[in-house]
Amino acid sequence: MVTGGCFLNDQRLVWYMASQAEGAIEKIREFDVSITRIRDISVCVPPGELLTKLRKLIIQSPGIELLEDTLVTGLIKTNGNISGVTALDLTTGAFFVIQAKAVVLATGGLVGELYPRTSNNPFGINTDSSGTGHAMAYLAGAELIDMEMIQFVPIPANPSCLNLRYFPDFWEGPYINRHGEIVESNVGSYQGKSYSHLFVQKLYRELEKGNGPLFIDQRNLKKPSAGPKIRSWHQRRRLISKLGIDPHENKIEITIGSHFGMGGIRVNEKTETTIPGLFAAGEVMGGLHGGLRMAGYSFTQMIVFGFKAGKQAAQYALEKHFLEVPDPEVDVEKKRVFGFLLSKDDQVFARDLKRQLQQIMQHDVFVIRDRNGLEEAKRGILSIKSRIPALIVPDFKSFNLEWARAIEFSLMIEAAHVIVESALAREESRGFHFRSDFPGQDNQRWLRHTVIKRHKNQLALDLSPVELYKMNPEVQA
Amino acid sequence: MSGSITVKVFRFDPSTDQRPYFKEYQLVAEEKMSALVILNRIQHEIDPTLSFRNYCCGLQMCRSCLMKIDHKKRFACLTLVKPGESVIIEPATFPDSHIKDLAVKPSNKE
Repeated sequence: MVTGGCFLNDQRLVWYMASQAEGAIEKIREFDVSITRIRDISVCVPPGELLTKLRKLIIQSPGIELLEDTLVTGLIKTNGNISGVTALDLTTGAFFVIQAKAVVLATGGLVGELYPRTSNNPFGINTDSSGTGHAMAYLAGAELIDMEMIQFVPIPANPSCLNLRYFPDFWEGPYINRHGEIVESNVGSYQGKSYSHLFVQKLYRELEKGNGPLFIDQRNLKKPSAGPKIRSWHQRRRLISKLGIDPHENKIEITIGSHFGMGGIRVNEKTETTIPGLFAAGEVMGGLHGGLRMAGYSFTQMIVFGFKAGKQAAQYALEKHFLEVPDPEVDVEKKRVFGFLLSKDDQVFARDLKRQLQQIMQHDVFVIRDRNGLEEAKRGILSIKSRIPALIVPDFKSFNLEWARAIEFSLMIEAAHVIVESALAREESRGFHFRSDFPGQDNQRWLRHTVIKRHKNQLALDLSPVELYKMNPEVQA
Repeated sequence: MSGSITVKVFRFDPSTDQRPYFKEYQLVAEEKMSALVILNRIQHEIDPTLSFRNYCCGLQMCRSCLMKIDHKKRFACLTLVKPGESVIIEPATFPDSHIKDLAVKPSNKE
C-alpha cells in the first residue's frame, strides 16, 4: 500500500487497517453474511447482502432511530465542538436540527459527480458521490488533506457496458487503439494493475495523440473459468449476456473516468477529525491510500474504520454532555436551504452549473494537469460559486429532487474549490497527481500533505510533513 | 436504432392533487435505455417537478428503484426500453406507503 501510494500515505492509518482487517471480516461474519475466500489474501463480501442485513439489524435494535429520506445540510458547532447537524426531511420538506454529542461522517466519495464520466455509476444517474460530507466538514473548520489525489481508471465508454467493470479479468486487456495497434498487453506489470496512475497516464497520452477510441479486445482469448460460485457475480454475468456485451464476443470501447478520492477529511487511527466530536470513516476520510488506491482496499477501509468510528463516537458521547445548539447559526442555514425555493430575477438551474463544473474538471483537473490549466479551473470554479445564490428550484416541498440537487451542488462546489487549490499547491508529480510543469516526484520537498481548512471564512492552505512511521522511500529504494 | 419513446407516468402529489393522473412524455432515444435513465432524463430535460427515487446501484442491490413497469413490479435500473416502444410507469405501491408520484417509503420487511 505504501509503495503503491508513493509514500504519501498516513502510515499509522495503514498499519492500523492492516492489523484490524481480519477482525473486521470476522465481525461481518457475525451478521450472517456469506463470505467467500477467492484468493490467499482476499475474500468476496456481497455488498447488497451486507447492506440489507446491517439495515435490518439497525431497524431491529432498540434505541436506534433510523432516519431515511433525510438530507443533512450542515454541521453545527458550539464553542469549537460538534453540537449537532441541520437536516431536511425530503418527504415533507421539514427542516430540523438533530442535537448530537458526536457525529460520524460516512458520506462516501466526492469524484463521481465532479466528472462527466465516472466508474461510480453504472448508468449515468446520480451517484451520491458528490463530496457533500467533505464540504460540510470543511465549512465547519475541519482539515482536509491531499485532496488533489483523485484516481482515474479506464471505464467502458458505453454506459450499459459498465457492468463489466466488476470483473477483474476484463481489465487485463489487451488494450488496443483505433488502428488495431496494441497499447498495453501487460497490465500486470504495473503496481496496482489497471488502477495504476502510470497505466492510466499511458492511456490518456494515447488518446491525446489522436489514436482513440481505445478498446479492450478479448475476442481471441479463451474465456476464463467461471471462478467461485458467488451469486452476485453470476447475476452480473447473466446481465452482461442479456445486454449483448460479452467481451469475448465484442470489442469493448473504453474511456477514462473518475473513480476514487484518496484525499479527504484528516483523521487519526481513532477516526477523530480535527473538530472534537466529529469522526469520519470510509472514502470521506483522507490519507490512507496516499497517491493511489489499490484494488480491494476501500472495502477494507470502510469496514475497519466504520467499526472504529462507531465505537469511538459512542465512547465520546458517553463521556460528554449535549451542547446547546446556537439558534442564529441554525436560522442562517434554514434561510440558505429555503432560499433555493424563492423566485429570483437572476436564475440558474443546478444541472446547468453542474455541467459547467464537470467540463472544467474534465478539461483542467484531470489525468494531466499544469499551473495554467489549474488557474483557469480555479477562476471557473469561483465564478460558478458566485452563481450559487441564483440557483432556483420548483416551489414544492415533498420529494423535490431539484431542491436536493441544489443543496448538494452548493456543497459540491466547495469540494471542487478545495481540490483545485490543493492541486495548484503540489508542485510535483506523485501518484495520480501528474503536473506536466513538474513531471518528477520530489521526495526532498514534497513528502508533505497538502492541508486545507477554512480560517476566518477564507480557504487556508498549509503543508505538513508525511510521518514515515514504518517505511522510508530511501530505505525501500 | 434512433426513435421516440413514449412514457406514461403516474403523477400524484397528495398535498395539491385531488386524484392521481397519468402524464405522457416523449423522448428521443438513440439506443435502448433503462426506465430509470428515462425518468432521469424526463426530470432533467422536461419536467423538474417529477419525483422518484433516483439513486441507482444498477445491480438489483439497493432495491430503491422498484416500480411497476407495464403493470409488473420491476427494477427500473435494469428494465430496458427500446426506441419506438411505449411504457407505463407507476409506483410500486399505492396508496400504501406512497409519498409523491413514483416515490414510496422504503420497505422495512426484508
